[in-house]
Amino acid sequence: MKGSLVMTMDDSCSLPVQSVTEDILLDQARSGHEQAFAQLVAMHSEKIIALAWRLVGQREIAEEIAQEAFLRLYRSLPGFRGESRIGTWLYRTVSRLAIDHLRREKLRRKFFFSRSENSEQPDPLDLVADDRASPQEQLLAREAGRRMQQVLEKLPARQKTVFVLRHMEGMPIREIAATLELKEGTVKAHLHRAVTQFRKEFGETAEANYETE
Amino acid sequence: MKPNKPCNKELLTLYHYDELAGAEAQNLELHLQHCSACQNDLKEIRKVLAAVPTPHLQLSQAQRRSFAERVSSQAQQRSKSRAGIWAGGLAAAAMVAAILLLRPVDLTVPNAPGQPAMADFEMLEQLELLQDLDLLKDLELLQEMEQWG
Ligand SMILES: [Zn+2]
Repeated sequence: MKGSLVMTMDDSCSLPVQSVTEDILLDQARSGHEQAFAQLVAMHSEKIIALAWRLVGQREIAEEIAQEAFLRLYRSLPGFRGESRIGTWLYRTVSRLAIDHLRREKLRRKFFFSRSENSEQPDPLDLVADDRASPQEQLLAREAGRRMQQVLEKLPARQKTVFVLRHMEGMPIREIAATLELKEGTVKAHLHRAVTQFRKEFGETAEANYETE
Repeated sequence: MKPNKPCNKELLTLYHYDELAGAEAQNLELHLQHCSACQNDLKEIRKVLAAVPTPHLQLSQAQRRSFAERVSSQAQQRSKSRAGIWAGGLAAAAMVAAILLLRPVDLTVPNAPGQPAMADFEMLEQLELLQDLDLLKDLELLQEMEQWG
């Protein structure tokens, strides 16, 4: 190991300790310690892959997006300013990469139409068949999760991202606006539209329709 | 929102997520006391959103480590081949400059008669995204080539 810092690749440390550790690792990574950068990645990997996964629905693509975000972080290390924490920076980058991916996917389907909605791509929630799926992931494969995923997938990219960030990540609207470079009013409108969509699918009106079908 | 003000569904969503400032929240609460439609809406919002599960992902320490090692080695590779990309980039920039010098650039988009401008704009946006897609493919190809070479 090149670096002088001894620690395990565990992100379970408490927040103040983590931020001090992060600063040290950041310094070391900036001066070229490969191992320090790897430890930074390991510290943030679970949250960042999870965010990407919630946004794009597919584990492999989520890992690709997370990887790209970390590679961009690596390139930005020389000019990385301390006031923007790595986590915030990664959240912003992953959200933008995910929005780009979702839009491209939609366009690809619209223009080329060769991929039907479900045939070629693995079902986002076919995680039971995935060796890497944890019990929690498998839980998701249940019907409720599947229906939820279907509604999520239908949402426009930005609306979906706003919903995931607010509902699943618990990020305040003000932070979402900063992360996605949108006005707060726009974020509020996106969130409300997403909620309205969920109500249409799962609300009482939807259930009444379902029963009379 | 006063009791006599019209119902505002967006405020209900924001209220659910605790995103209303003090006075806004108080006004809405006042409105809710008198409006059964909004009471029912809020009840439904809470019920529906409580049923939307948050998928959880857990990575073992080994998974985190192997991901980190993969990313780290990719980063090293990319930084080693950066010199190559710079050379390629400079060549591309020179080519673009040459093309621009040879051809006058018209940045306005001609609007076909009878066609709404918005449709053009949307189409343009989509074409740009598709170009991004091609650009990404080119970048991927470039990286692959660099990995071979
Ligand atoms: Zn009302």
